[in-house]
Amino acid sequence: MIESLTAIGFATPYALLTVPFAASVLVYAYRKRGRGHREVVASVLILRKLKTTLSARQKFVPPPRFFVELLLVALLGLAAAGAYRQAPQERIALVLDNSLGMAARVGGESRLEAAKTDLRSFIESLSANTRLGLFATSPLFHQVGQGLLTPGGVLQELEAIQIAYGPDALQGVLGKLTQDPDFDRVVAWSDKALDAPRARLQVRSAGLGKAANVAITEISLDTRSERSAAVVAEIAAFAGREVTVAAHLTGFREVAGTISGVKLAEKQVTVPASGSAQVEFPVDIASNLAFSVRIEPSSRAGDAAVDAILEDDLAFVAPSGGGNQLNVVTASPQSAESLTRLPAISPSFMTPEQYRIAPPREGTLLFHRTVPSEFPPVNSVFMLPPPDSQLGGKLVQGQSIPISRWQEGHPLLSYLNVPLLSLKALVPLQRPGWAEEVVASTYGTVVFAGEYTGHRYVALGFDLLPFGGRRDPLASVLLLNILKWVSGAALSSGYEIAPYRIPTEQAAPSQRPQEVRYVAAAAPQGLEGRGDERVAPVPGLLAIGGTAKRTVRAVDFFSEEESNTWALQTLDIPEIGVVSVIDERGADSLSNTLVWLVLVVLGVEFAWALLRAGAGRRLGVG
Amino acid sequence: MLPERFTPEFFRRLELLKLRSRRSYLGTRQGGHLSLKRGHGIEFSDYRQYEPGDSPRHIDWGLYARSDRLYVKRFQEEQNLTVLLLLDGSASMLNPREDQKWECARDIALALSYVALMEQDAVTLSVPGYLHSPLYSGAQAFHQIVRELTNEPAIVGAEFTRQAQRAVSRVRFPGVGVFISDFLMPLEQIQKVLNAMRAKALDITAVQVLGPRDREPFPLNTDAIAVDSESGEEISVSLTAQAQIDYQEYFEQHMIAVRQLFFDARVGFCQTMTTDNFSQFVVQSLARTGLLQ
Repeated sequence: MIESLTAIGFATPYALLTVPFAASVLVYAYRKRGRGHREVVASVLILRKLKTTLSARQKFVPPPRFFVELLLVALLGLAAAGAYRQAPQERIALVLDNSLGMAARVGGESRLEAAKTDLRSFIESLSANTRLGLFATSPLFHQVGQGLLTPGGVLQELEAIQIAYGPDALQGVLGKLTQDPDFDRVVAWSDKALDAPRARLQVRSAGLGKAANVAITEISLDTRSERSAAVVAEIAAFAGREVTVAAHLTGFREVAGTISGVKLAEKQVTVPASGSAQVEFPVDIASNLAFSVRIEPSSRAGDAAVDAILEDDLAFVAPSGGGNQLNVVTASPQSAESLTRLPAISPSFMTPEQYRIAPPREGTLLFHRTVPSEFPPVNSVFMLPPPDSQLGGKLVQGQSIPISRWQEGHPLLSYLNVPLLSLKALVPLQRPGWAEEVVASTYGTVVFAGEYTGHRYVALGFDLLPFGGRRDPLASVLLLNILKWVSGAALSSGYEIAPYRIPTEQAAPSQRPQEVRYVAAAAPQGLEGRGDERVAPVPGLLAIGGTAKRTVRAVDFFSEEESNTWALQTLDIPEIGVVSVIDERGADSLSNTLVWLVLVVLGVEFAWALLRAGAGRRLGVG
Repeated sequence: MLPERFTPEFFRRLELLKLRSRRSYLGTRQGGHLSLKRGHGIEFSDYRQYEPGDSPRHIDWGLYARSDRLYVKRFQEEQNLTVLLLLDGSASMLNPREDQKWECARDIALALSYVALMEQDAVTLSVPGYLHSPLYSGAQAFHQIVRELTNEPAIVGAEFTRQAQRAVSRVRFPGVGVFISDFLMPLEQIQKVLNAMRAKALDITAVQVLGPRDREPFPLNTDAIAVDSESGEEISVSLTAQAQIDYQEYFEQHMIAVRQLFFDARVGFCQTMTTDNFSQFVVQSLARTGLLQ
């Protein structure tokens, strides 16, 4: 009913102003004329005495005829305003998954291209009255175009959506959109399987066929000594059969101010079906600024067709990667000393006083039983903050409070007695969609986690540092997961995770070695430079600093979920309830209907007046 | 044309009646009512001492035998009576139409006229603002009166009270005055008319004619604008059950006040509804007031 009312439009809406005016005149006329019919009586001598009694009832109580005439006025006003019924304007959210998995080519066409083709055909089936919100999932979920678009506007904006490095977080994104009352339904194009059908959600497949793929899933620099080191790359085959690839190692050196790559080694690696294999290259880190490993399926029959995604065949690593630095701020380094026992982490300790004097501007900070006076501008973990911490006063107020809960039956509960976090002045951070996996982590509960001013923060209400005994492994796994997420990279060895944020003082003048293959693209929406930092959205090498003192950072993107294009399941597309009926005929004038209504009302009033006239004769109207 | 109520039977009953006056008046001619004029009547009046020239037939010889003085018997003469029929022809008597108050009042006036004319009385018919007839006498004048009252009065000019006072002032012979109205007017106005009539030494009788709508102007739960038939005053009416009860109460209060006014003024009063039996009212009710016998 309300939708049908809102679908009414007016050709000349100013004519509606006459309705209240005419209604006022009608009320005035009725008040002036009084109630009921006029009837001549012999004398009002007695009635005059009743006047005091009657005057108490002088409030305006219109007779039924008044409402009939008011209805007539309203109908005539609507007719004068040229009322017409608009076709219901359906609002649809279009979600296009542009994560790396959509780059997989099946039959010569990438999944993203297939999705765009299907999206175009879907748009052609819509009414021109439909309003569309276009969203892309990677590297952050963002809206494409300004506000709601027409179908034609979506077709124009569609070309701007390209493959982006970043997790799609499709599950959380669709969960939010389907709850958004601004949209009648949500249509998504993705290669991912959704766990449960949702109301108002339609998922259209974007190339459901399995695509065998081989990808580098990890790279590290094993520094056994200054002169003896090795680049270790893990290669995974997401295929139904064994795949043989050639792994090429390239070293990057600076010659006359120019960084160029030199092919150092090549190895043949046989990766088992749906398995992984490691390839290790001994390298000399003293004479190389960085290394890259590229895999290439062998020319053996069938192997070339295995590699559906080319973008995940290249990985970089640099000895000078600084993002893996973990700075532990604690008043008692002894209590956090057990961190050194965690594999692949070399923490450096500082006291709160040292932090106050020279706070680190890069790496990851872990505040153990202390909090800084100001919110740190780098990714941070607050472990067991003091109860009276005032840190939260610096945070943005009024945001949602997503506090995770301990899951009943979680194995950690059998080992740890975890008190709830109780920080009086600490405000939980806004939790973006991509933080869902951390907050709702099945590995263990993080009391709150989120992103603020481009940095990631985690607060723990309990001490999760490793300690001796049987419980070590479980605790370490949880902490490692937190540190992995909050640092934006594996802390093990020399690379950053794209999109990588670079503080301005390092980024200017930043440049990329020209010899290194990279995709020149502007920072995606939501990842633009925020004043004091720049963004490297795609993998590659970054030369940071001037020529006198220049370091090289490696930026990689690893996501088994994106690279695994072989384990796709058949999507269960739920039935879509009809939210609204689209009237293809467009606007429909209501004038005829209103005229008929007026005639009917007039007829009713005429019949009623006839009946009243009969009653009037019986009463002897003078 | 005579109204339907005036059947031969009704006329026969009227012929058995005669007007009665509580006072004696000087008549204009010989009639059937005792007059103030002493003379040759049959009704003994008093004695006076014999004076030379008196007829010896009028000497009361029995008294002379007892008192040894000559006294002459005096008798009241019987003369006719002058009747003023003051008929309210204002709009309140004409509205509501279905009540037929005017018709009822007119028929009462006709009936009284017939009774008076049959007794050789003289009748003056006055509808203030509309008609003031000459002094009618003789049975044949009844038809003239009928013609006069056939049409509805078209009142013009000032209000009823002033017109009535002016009409009464034109009365030359005192006698019986019959004031026929619905008396739905302020008591002051009734009083003014009464004073005018008393100034003419009339023996007044008031006859009130009411219609059903006077007692119950609107059905219950009626929303209407009541328009006064004479002044045009409008009153918005929403007649709830309580308002109707209040109206009845005020109406009765007014009726009591009117009745008390006439009682205090020693004026005969009689009330009839237009729905009452007309013949019975004229023959019995008017007789009970002393107007007819």
